[in-house]
Amino acid sequence: MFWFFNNHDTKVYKYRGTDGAKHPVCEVNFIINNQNGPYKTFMIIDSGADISIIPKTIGEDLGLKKTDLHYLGGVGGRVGYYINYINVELAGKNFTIPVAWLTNDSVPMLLGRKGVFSEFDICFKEKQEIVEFTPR
Amino acid sequence: MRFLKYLQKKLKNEEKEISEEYNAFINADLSKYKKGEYILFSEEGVYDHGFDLEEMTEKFKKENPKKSPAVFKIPPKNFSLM
Repeated sequence: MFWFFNNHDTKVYKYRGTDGAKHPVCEVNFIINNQNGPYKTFMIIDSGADISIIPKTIGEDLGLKKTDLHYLGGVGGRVGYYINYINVELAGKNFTIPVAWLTNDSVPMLLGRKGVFSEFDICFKEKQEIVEFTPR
Repeated sequence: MRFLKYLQKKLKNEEKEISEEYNAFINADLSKYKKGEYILFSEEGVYDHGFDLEEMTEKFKKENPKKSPAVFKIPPKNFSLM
């Protein structure tokens, strides 16, 4: 009966591991108008990241634009990025998110908070290794 | 009776919402791929993997002009969310 009382619009995604460490991963469709669109991806949800991150090669496939160059600084050094705004479809909802398109391939695709966390109530269930997206 | 119909509709909708590519992604053994590699998923399962995403996407598009693959990038070496 618990299942019956669940919010019908809630989408559940599972954690996935590649080398022991498991991460919450969700399906994100980028709505783009070039020959590669729509572009389906699986992105690691990074609740600690302000903004979503797209590595260089995938940004090229998506046809992202080289806008003003910014830099991220960290322990591993400095890396450049361009801000783009992309329409996405996630958990049954369409909206626009800002993404930082990196100038190298040193990261996987990361789904950050900006533009995403305001659209859903997101619940990480570590023990069950699932993450729930409920539209607001 | 109405309740049963409702349950059937709900189940059908839930099935529709989960894409074939997502199912393929969930069922794939990701541990056998190299760090930083791109994996392309089709409705049937893992379509291809490697570091040249452009080449793999082109090949997929040639073979399946009306479809799009789903892409996942294995976290590269030295990458950590911590």
